[in-house]
Amino acid sequence: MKKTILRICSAAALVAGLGAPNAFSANDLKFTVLTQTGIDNTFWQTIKRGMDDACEDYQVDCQMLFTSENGNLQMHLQNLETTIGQDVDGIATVIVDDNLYDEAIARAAEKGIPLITINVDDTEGADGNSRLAFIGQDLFQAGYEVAKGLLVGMDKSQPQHVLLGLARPGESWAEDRIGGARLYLDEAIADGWNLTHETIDSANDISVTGQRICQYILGNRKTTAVVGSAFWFAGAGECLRDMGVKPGEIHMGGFDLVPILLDEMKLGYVDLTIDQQPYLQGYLPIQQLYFINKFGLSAFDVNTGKALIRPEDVGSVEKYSAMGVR
Amino acid sequence: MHFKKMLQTKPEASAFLMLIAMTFVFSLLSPTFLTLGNFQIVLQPIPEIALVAIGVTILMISGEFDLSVGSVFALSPMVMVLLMAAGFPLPVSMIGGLVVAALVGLANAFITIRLGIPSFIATLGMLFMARSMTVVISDGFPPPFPRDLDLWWIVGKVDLLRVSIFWLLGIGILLGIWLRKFDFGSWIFATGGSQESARNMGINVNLVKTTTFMLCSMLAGFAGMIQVFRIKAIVPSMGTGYELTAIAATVIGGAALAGGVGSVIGAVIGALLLAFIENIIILTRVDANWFRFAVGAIIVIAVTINKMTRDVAARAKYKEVEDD
Repeated sequence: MKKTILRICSAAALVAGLGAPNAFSANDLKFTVLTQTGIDNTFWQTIKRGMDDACEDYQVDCQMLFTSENGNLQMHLQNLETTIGQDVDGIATVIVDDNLYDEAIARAAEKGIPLITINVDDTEGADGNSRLAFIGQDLFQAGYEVAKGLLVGMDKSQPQHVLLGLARPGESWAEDRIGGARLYLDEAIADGWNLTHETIDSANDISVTGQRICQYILGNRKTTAVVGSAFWFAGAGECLRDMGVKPGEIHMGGFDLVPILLDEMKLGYVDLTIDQQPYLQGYLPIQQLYFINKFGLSAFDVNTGKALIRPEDVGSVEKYSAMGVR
Repeated sequence: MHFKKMLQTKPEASAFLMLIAMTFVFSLLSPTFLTLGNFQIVLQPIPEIALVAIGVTILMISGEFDLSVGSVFALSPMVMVLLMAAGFPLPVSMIGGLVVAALVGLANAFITIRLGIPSFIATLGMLFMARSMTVVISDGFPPPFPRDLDLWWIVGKVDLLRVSIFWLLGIGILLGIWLRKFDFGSWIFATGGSQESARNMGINVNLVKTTTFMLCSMLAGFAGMIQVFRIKAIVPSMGTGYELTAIAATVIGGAALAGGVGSVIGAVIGALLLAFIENIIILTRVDANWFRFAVGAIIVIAVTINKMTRDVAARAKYKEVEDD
């Protein structure tokens, strides 16, 4: 109870202007991490925790800049340009559009500011712009693995219909994941599976996504599997139960580790998820930027994971999820 | 003639006609649309968005806006869940969440009335502040929702329906009676119709607006709690964009942006129409990239037809008066 009261007091302190950014500035190094998403994204809070821990470990001054609402790319770009203008010592950012950020990233390189991309990279990778390295998941490959993992539990001899839930049409992270899943499904069709698939705008809200998936399944009873482009698809579990769908009748898979997804896994409505270890996406760029600044070391790519988490793994990852590090 | 008069005097009448027409058209477009199973799914979130829309409607009748309802939709249940995690019983935690929602409404009223900031701007600021507070108080990681709670009394299943639909009906009927049969309801309409005239009539305009701001926030907070009870999870991003959905439902339901016109039933019909529109787009398998275009286009068409229907009725009434 004391913790809750402290949190509510800290909210009051924030309102009063007492909330301060991270200030472990013993090294006088200033790093900024930027995203195109809002502060209410649980996944990004794990990245922030990784960043906070690294900043404390390396005694550097860090700030994470969210946008006021999810997917505001213009504000994200503006934040990036402002950060470059502040001559910080290092930047970590997502690149969710192949062209939008190129000029700003080139300007950072001209000014000698090391810039690493995290979480989402240019689809052309290192050829797309002058960023130094990428720390995150191979999104396309991860989508491919989810579809592949789902089909493992399905019968090749029976007709299958897979719903692909595109959480944010037009944003590369979602398009890449669903694109990867789509590629595997097309390969499966070529391999003799009697399979069809369809993509819908599934939204990025647990309630709305759940509703849309259930409504789709109701109108398309032949649906046997659902691939989500993030974790919001787990919201479908409740209405699937209302529809009388039994565990295992419809196979669902997607991304990330959040409590509702783990709960649905335990209940048998989610077959698998891919943990991309967001904590590392917050911790490692700070570590690399520190080494670049202090010792002139070079940045290096890190694939933070494409590990499939299945129901039998829930027990071992649940405690880390609750700690906010997975 | 009576029908035309009804269209003109009841702001929700044309929306109701739209609802019937769209139900008919949608049933032709998809055989699944009019099935009980589909309605079971579509109706599940209706109490949540409709309660928000009712609050926004009553506030809009009094001549003000609230853009912070989507954030309060998350903040209020977040407070509730945190209090529960801290060991408080459910009723106390719910009251705690509703008190926070009421305080947000009070702050909106204070900024709008005392500081003279337009409510559009004041509540836009509150939208960001409340969302931020939702994340801060949970430290970014809300506790898991206790799945073993007995929540039958609020979201339990009664055949194809959820109990929450009866909460919507009960609250809607009470607020509808309050608006139409009680003095305070008349004061709300008078305040939104012409603030100066209302003040000259001796109505405490500030009290009216403060009450409607607080009611709007509390309804949003309560609606958020229902959603958390239904999906048995809380995430800080819940309710994002609900302010626009609620305003759309309110306007479709016949409320005037300028104030003084609107109804509780209109807000519910507006919420239903929006849900039906999204449902038919899913059932007819509209391509992902065209989804939002389709939703937007149908909303514009619905509001346009709604307005045209009322204009036709108004012209008929004008002609009738001229003939007399």
